[in-house]
Amino acid sequence: MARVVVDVMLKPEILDPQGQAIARKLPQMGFEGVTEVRQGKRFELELAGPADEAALERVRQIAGTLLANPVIETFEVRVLDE
Amino acid sequence: MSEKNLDHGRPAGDPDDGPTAEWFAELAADDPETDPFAKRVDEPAQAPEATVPSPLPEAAQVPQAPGTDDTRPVSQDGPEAVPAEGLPAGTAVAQEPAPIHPDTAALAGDAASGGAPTAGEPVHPEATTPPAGTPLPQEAVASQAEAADEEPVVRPDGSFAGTPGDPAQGGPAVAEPAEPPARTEAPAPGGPLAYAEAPAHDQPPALAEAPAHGQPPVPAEAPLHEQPPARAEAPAYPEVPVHREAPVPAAGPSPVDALIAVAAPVPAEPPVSAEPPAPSAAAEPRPAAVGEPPVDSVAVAERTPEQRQPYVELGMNEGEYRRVRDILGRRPTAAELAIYSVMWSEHCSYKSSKVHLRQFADKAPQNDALLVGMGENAGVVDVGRGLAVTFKVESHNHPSYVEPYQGAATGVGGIVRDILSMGARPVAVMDSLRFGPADAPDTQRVLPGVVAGVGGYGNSLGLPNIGGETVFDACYLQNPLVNALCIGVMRHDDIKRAIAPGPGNQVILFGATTGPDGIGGASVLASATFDEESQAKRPSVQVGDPFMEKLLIECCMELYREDLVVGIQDLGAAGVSCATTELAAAGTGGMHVVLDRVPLRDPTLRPEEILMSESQERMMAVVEPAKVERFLEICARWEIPATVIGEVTDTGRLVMTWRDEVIVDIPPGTAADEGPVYERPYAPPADLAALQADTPGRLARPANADDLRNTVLWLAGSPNLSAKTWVTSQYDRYVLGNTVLAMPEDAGVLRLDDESGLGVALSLDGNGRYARLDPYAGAQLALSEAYRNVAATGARPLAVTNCLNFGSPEDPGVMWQFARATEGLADACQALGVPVTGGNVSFYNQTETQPINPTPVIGVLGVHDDVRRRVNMAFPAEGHMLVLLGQTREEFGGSEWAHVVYGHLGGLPPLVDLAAERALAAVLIAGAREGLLSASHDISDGGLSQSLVESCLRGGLGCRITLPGDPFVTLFSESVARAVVAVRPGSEARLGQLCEAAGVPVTQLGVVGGDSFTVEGLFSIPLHELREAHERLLPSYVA
Amino acid sequence: MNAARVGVITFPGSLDDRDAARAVRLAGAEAVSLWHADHDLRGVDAVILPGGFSYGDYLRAGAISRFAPLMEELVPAARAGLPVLGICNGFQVLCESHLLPGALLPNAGLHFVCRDQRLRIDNADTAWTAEYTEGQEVVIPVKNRDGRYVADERTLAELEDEGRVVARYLDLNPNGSLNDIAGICNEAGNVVGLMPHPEHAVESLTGPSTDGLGFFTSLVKAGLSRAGVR
Repeated sequence: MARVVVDVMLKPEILDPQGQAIARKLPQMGFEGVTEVRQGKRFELELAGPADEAALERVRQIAGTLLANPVIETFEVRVLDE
Repeated sequence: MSEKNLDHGRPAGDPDDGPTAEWFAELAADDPETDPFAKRVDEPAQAPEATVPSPLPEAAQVPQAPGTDDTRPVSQDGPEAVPAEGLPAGTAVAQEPAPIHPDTAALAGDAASGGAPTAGEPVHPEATTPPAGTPLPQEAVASQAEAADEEPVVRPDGSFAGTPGDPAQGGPAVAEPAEPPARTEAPAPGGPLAYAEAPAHDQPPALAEAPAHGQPPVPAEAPLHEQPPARAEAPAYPEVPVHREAPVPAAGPSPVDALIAVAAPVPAEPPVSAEPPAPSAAAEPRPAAVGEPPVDSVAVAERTPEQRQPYVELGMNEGEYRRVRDILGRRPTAAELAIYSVMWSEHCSYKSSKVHLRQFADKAPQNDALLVGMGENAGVVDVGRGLAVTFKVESHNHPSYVEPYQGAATGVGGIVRDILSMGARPVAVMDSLRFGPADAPDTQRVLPGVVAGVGGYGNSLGLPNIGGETVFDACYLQNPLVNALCIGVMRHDDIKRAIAPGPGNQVILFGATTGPDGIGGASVLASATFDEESQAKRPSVQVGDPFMEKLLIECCMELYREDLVVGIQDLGAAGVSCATTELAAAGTGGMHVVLDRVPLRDPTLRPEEILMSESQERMMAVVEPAKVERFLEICARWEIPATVIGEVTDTGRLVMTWRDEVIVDIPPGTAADEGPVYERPYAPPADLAALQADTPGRLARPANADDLRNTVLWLAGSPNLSAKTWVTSQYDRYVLGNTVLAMPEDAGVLRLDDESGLGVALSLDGNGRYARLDPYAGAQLALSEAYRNVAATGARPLAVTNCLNFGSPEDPGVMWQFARATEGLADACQALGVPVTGGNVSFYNQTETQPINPTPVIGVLGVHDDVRRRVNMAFPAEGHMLVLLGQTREEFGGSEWAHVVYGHLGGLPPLVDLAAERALAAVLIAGAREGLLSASHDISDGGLSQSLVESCLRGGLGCRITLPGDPFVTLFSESVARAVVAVRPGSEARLGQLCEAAGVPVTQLGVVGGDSFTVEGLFSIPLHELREAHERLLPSYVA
Repeated sequence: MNAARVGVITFPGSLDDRDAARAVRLAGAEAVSLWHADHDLRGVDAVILPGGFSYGDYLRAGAISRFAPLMEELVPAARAGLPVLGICNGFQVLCESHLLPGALLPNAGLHFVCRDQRLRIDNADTAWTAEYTEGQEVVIPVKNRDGRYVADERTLAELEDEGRVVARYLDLNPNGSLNDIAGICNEAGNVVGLMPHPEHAVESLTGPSTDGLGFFTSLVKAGLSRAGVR
């Protein structure tokens, strides 16, 4: 059993209107010093077996075909420490 | 480098080197060592640019173009002639109307007969032959193009070499139609028509004859010369592997990449900083990007005439590039090349379609309602009570295939900004969608994304979606069509124009910041043919921000209300390039832009990229200096970034500076209005005769009552005829509170004025199968149906917009389809008295060599004097008499029945009968006005059967009818100019009088009532069974 | 003029503000436009937070609007008894502001849904539903992307026990709301959140019914009597 996290973010060059809207609001609320906000998604996948390289490769395939849209998004896969 | 795995994102610990660095890295060609362009990116010395920001000078101090180039006298081909007569109000149309044919009925008859040519008839008798030369057969064209593709056009030393055997060198070669068309008119040779004014599909008639400012005549650029194979149209689009394992296609540098690389000076060039700064140019409060390549300024261009330039990668042919050099008297700078390449792309210049679209103006019927004709962002028509309406449909086909959600969303966003820039408040949208087979896996990817995108954007803008179509056909499998329409309303006085008059007036860019979105999209993405490598062409997706656009709408409304805008233009394809050249060309003729001032989302963008960026939700306004402050205040209130980036001048030149150097100095009209015009060769598709000969007469018909019953259910549940609730329930149809009718009604109906009830009706229709069988008739049939749909609600049809979706114009068969369709549409608009006010052409909708069915999608706008008298399609009450209006013939070519039951496409489409269509509309309009009709539904796809099914289900009431004549033909034929109506008790006689006066055949069918669809003596289908059949399909596939 | 003055807030991205104002006028009251960035309720007798996608629904629906300057005025006024109706996005803002319990999540079907929805009015005692009778069935458009009402079990039980479910979906639950909840109110009954859009059912020409008018006429009565007290 292992838990694997997939973080999906918009590629840096892709417009992130959500992050921008949040970033614009922050100073109005008195939070200064934040120059950029990018919003992403986090997935947690519970694996039946160990998080070995083969399993992680499968997770990367899952991430690349389903969780992330490679047209506009990148992702990172990492194993969550139990 | 090309192995870089985008799919899996940046490796952990990827240096935070800024998005653009990675962007370029991703786009760069295979091996930088062997790629001269890529190599040069790495080489240039870091330009020690000023890093001390200084505040923007006051708006009024925007300098005149520094340097020497701006002092050059306006060349003889300067743009004055263009702006002077430039974009006159559409009133020009009203002032110089094309004469109406005295006998519209006869004309309609002509058109109708012309619409059904025999199999061997190649073209309409009046079709213009290509201007010169001996045509080549289609095969020769292909091989010619292939040869051209393999030949280097530019020598390594940068000199220009004609391709051996290049037709341009040896005189124009023109393909010949399979049979030489009869010619009754002299063709328009290159000269006068060559570079006629027509920024977008919409030629102002006054300018159609505009002289070409002494430009070289078109024939110099032989029609064949610019015909590389489709792939070559976009040879170097960023090809990035999506999967690590995927074979890496041999990729050239991206166009923008190439530009930037070439922008680097030859080593001998002095660094930028060594150039004396322009006297009064604004220093930018932006840190100099480290490693920024030196600027390819006008001065550099003059010193390096032999510098090779990537015009081929940017989609230009040699003739076009040569012409740019002729215009400028030197090589263009990288920025200028970016502007010309994108403005002269098919997408922006309509170079292949212009000669045909001209008919819409030439044949425009007189119509006093037309306030602004073709040539602006959208046409404007008077609907009474001081109100005017503007509407237009536009395609976003290719982007929607690449990234369905964003492609469709930004399609809606773009057309809404077109309407907004006319001075109107957008009040509704519609969408015409076409996909591959409903059960195809890729359809299940594309359709939900497109629908969510159309809905996600339109809903977030608060614009009701009031109608459209959703069609499935195998030909659209890899070429979905996403055509979006927007309609806006304004007072007559509020009409805004895309002009930049008045030297000293300020140019303000407002809305979203500029990022690397869709760079090159206008010239590459929007026109690239899909093939196996399209998956690799995924970057440069534009992301829409509907929230920003909603703010833009409200902000513009306030700006208009306070009369703060002299001219305004939205930024769509070609972004800043398009907005600046078009505004300047249509204004006083000059503009100076400090490109550094464009607010960037990515500060490392290069000037060429800024010029080509298609970042969404941006507008450009021309504002009097005294009003700038208030303008900026209103933008701030709506939290919209706004920046003065330049000033209108009277120099006749569009001048742009970057880092204090002049990088653009061109006559704007040469980019905006005087792009190349091609008379591409055309000939009927080789398979057309066989297709037309394969009539549906050979198909077995239902043999008995049971078969008929099953056919009714089969058709009602087929993909094209089944309920589209799954789609339309994702669209807000209520917002703004003025939606009187929306899908699935025949037309969307909007109230414009609460008190009087003044309103409009809109319908959007097309039928690619009809157009495949006969494009001339197919375009007319689409118009016919939209016209009928509008009239069915009781509205008076007034004006037309269109979106012409075709394959590659370089395929003579496709070009023939296009020529025939435009001619058919222009003729039919003339016959029906409804002018084309604007539209859009989408070419290259094909996979490999297989084009889609030619698909002209036609929108018709009608007026309701009082929407409270509109009629809808639902059967309302027991006992109302049901009447069939119009004549039914045995017509099954291209029908839904042949398509659904046999997958058959052949024969000829239904006969076009515009006179009958007009007569039917007169009855429907009068019937609605006099309150005679309790329901009204047009008959089209699927025939009478389908119309009855829809009206029964809509009202929840059945019907009992008796069929005259052959039951099969009566139920399923798709003859035009027909409708089924329910008559209010006591109004039967009056309706009969109206029909008799108009010459519309009347057939009493039966009555409304019961809970089944019953055909006496044949069959009865309970409504619940009908509903199950009609509503099951889409959710089962896509839900 | 004795007509009740009903404020309609415009947030950036509000869409149904003009529709709400129209409904207020059709109900015989005066519609007063309120701007999100002001600190001024302009002395209105009641406030409507209209539908739309304020701030694009970015982050979460209503999550950014909740911090609008005007909300700093509205929240205490609502707690003091000012009638407040949040429609759709307005409902989401009220939940994010904790004027109402629970939250609204993306629809169970994951799509935007626009349909003519049959509802039952389960509480006819609020400031906004007095014109109805308990158990009355109405047809009002629903159109939302994030309309699935959720709350923890205890809150749900409280809402049910105290009769604070104002309206419930009939026939078909369009978004997966718990207990088919279409609208709720606060304990005092002056703050109502409603996912369906009564402002789109005030004219037979443009709506599926005129059943929605009652929400606005209820208020007019309440507003008028309140004005009389003042």
